[in-house]
Amino acid sequence: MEAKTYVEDIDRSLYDFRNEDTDAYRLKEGLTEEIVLKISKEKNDPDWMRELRLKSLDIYNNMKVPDWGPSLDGLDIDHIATYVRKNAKLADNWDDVPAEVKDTFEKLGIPEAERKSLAGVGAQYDSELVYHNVREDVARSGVVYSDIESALRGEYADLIREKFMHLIPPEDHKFAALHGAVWSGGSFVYVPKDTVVSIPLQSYFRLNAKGAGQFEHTLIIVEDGAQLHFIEGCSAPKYNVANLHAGCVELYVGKGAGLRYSTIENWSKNMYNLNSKRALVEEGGRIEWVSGSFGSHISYLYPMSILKGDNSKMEFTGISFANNEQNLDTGAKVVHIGRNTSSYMNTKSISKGGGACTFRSSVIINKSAEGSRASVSCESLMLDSKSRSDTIPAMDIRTPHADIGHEAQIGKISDDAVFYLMSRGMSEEDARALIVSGFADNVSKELPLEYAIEMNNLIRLEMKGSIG
Amino acid sequence: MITVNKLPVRTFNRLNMNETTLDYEPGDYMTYDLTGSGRIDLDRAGDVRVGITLGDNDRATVIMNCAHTGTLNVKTCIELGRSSHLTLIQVDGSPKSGRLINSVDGNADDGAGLHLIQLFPARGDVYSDCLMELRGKESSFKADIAYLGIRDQRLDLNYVVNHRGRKTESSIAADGVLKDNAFKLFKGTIDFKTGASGAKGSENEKVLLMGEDIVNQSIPLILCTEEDVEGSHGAAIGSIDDDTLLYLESRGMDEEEAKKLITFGIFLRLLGFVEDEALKTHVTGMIGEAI
Amino acid sequence: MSEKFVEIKNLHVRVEDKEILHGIDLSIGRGETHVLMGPNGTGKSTLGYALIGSPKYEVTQGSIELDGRDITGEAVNERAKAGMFLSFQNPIEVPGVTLSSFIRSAIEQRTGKRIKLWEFKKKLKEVMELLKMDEEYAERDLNVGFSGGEKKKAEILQLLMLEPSFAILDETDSGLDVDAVRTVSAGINEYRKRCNGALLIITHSSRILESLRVDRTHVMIEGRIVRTGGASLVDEINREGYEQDTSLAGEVAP
Repeated sequence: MEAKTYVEDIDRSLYDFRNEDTDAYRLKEGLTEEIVLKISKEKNDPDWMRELRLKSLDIYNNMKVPDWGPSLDGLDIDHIATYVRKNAKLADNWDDVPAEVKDTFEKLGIPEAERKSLAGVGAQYDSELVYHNVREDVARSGVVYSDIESALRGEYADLIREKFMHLIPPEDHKFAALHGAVWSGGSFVYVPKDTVVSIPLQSYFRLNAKGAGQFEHTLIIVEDGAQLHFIEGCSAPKYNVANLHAGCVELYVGKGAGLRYSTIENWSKNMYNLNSKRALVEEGGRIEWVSGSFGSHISYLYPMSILKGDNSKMEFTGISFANNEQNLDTGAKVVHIGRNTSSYMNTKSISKGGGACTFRSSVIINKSAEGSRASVSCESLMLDSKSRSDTIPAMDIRTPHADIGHEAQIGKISDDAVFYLMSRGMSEEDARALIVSGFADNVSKELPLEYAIEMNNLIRLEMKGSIG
Repeated sequence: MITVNKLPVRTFNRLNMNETTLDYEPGDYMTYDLTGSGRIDLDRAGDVRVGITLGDNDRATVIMNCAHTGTLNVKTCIELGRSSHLTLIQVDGSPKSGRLINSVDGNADDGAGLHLIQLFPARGDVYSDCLMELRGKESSFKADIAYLGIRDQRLDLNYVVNHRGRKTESSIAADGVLKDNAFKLFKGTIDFKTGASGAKGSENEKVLLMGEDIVNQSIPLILCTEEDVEGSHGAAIGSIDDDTLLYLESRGMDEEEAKKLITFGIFLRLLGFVEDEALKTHVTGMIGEAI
Repeated sequence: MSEKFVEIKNLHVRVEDKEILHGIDLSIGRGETHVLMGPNGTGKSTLGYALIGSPKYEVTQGSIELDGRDITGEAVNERAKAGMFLSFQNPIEVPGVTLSSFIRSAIEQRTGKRIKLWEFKKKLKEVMELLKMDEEYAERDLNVGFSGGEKKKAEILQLLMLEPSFAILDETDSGLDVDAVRTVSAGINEYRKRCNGALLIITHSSRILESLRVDRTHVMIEGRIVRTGGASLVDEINREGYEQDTSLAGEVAP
């Protein structure tokens, strides 16, 4: 038998620091009509939004917790504060952000990244956005990037009413209903027809408060012929009670438009990440998902693409890394409706130190989707025998005029590869970390350089102390 | 009502793949017990329990031929002693009015192996379930399945292999053709349990879609709690691929003939294991009629 | 006997919006062996696939005639029935269908007649011996698990069994060891002797040509036949390569 040593506690101090949540406005824990109405009032909702919240609450109360994924027994909504706001106004100047919040984001490298390589940045702290800025030249081209709340009263108010929670209706599942009831914060992005935003926009979500929930809503509309890359980052310090993230991302990709949505998720390991993401793609449009899941205690995450228009395309590239205490149930869904649509999923997962990864997918090809192609490829790496890795891909094909390929593989790090690298002078730990980084390159090569480096650092961090 | 073909772990309920509920109540079971090679012909509706027990080092082939009308519910329990080997050939040649509810439960001791060959050229609905426990070290399971779904036929197939022993091996290969408005759901699970070090498992599915109103569902699972294993799954689903078609056409066949050839090929590959000429002729006859 | 059994006139071929062949003229008489040489990626295989009628290769101009019959618009299987044969570089695997039963049904497709089993078996055995193929391959599934060499031999086996009047052999010698090349050459010679067919051998090496009598040699560069000569051209190219032809291609380019 091979001897293995494990180091249980990994230094996550880069993300794990936390601020005392003094001088914060915090609604009491739990979920009641009273609380929902308070949030609605606090946010000065239009009437339709208040009604949507109440309807969602009703749906939430009448829906069952999913019976198919990782256990959610540790999550008790009666002990989650659904709304926590720092006593700060939304700023568009970094200097106006309160010192400790600014300190948090500076440690996470947010303003630095903005200066270097982003067209716009939004930063959310607990339930509200604290900073939002978009480069002048980008704004001048008609691109809107703002918080949802102000957009609800702005130029695109009617458009938002038409699209908000239409792709992911509250009836979709229990946590979509929860989101509908208590959502707060998030971003609205509008890219006008034929406008190409050549450098990415970014939102960063930070949940600092203990025992709280974050329910931000992201609504992106990319009009016909336009192009956008949107990056989302998330992190939180660790507490010994459950935190909850039930965000919602709705993406509308117009005719011939292109949207790339990248996520590096690094929630702390007490987080229940029950996030919903969905894209509707019109004729000739293209949605690309790049998704790295590293944090959270439990994740349910399956970005879904609806290929409605003919010749529309979807590409999903993902990686999950589950360590001790983590159960990451991730994957993707796609529905082919238009003719000659194509979807391509490529995922990797790594399980280590008792962590569990599940790849779960669903590919549905409707009878109308003649000439469609779908390809699913997933690879799983097991780093020890106390971890778990499951692959659960489903396919439902209803036209003979389609081509579907699927391949899945599971295995361990090749001893020969470790031996080869060690023969060139590398330590075993470094050799294993290098091999795992290489394994993850499907995602890292799709990310902008800064993020690829951050992701590799995360992998190194997680690989520390794994001597097999 | 009975529930069959359960997926070992559940997934999205909307897919309707987690289990199948059938309107059927089993009655009294007729039982057969075998300890060596044999043939069982089942040509009537009813409930049948078959026990196959092989002693250490035994080798046997059992043919089960179904030609029933109405619902036939067959449960087969297999116990394989050390280093024994069983080839179980199940053929469902029932007419349109037949419904087959089939289940195979197997247990393999050290070095034992089961080769399960299933041919479903049937006209009636087929629900087939299989749970194989590879308990013994170096025990193995191989499943080869061929099916042809026509008209409004339903084929619902579920295979679960639990790798428990060290160096256990499994392979599941399901090849089939769907025509008209036939429905097929294939579930396959390879489950590497802790302790199954050195185990290997693979699943392969090929489906040729030849009907405008077909429904083809597949859910191939790999579950794993052991590091030192190799698991893989591959699926190719669609109409006959362009390169194959070109090759066959370049030798003078038209598209219909090429499709027929490939459909026959799927069954002929497995009929090679059947030594009963009459049964072979029966199966090829059924396919010929259907296409 | 028709002087120009195979007549290819001004053939332009497009693959996915890109023209690969820019007007090929080629005629091959019955019993003649022509060699098509040229560097990799120059369109030689495209010509093979276009002649047999692969739907991926679109003929945009020009015509293909076989024995006086215009087959430019014909389906693949109709061309095969008319007597055309292409040996594939990568023959397809068909599980469950044995090599022997495949050849038998292909012959029946071509002739439209049932073939007597013992006659067929006798001929198959004889040809397999000639090709030094193990007899058990006849009962193995078509191309399944065959090595590269065995697949090539299985193609020549089909050539000899199907007896086409026009055969295109596409890189039949690539990936073969010396002995296998010799065996395949013997098979090709046997085909010429038996069928007096028109033969187009596509190759970028010349090993397979050593024991074959070549009537004409054509050099293809960038989708055009730039030079045509006798058998000696093969040796010349062996010595000097395609340098001269590459410059010629530059001159004829539009």
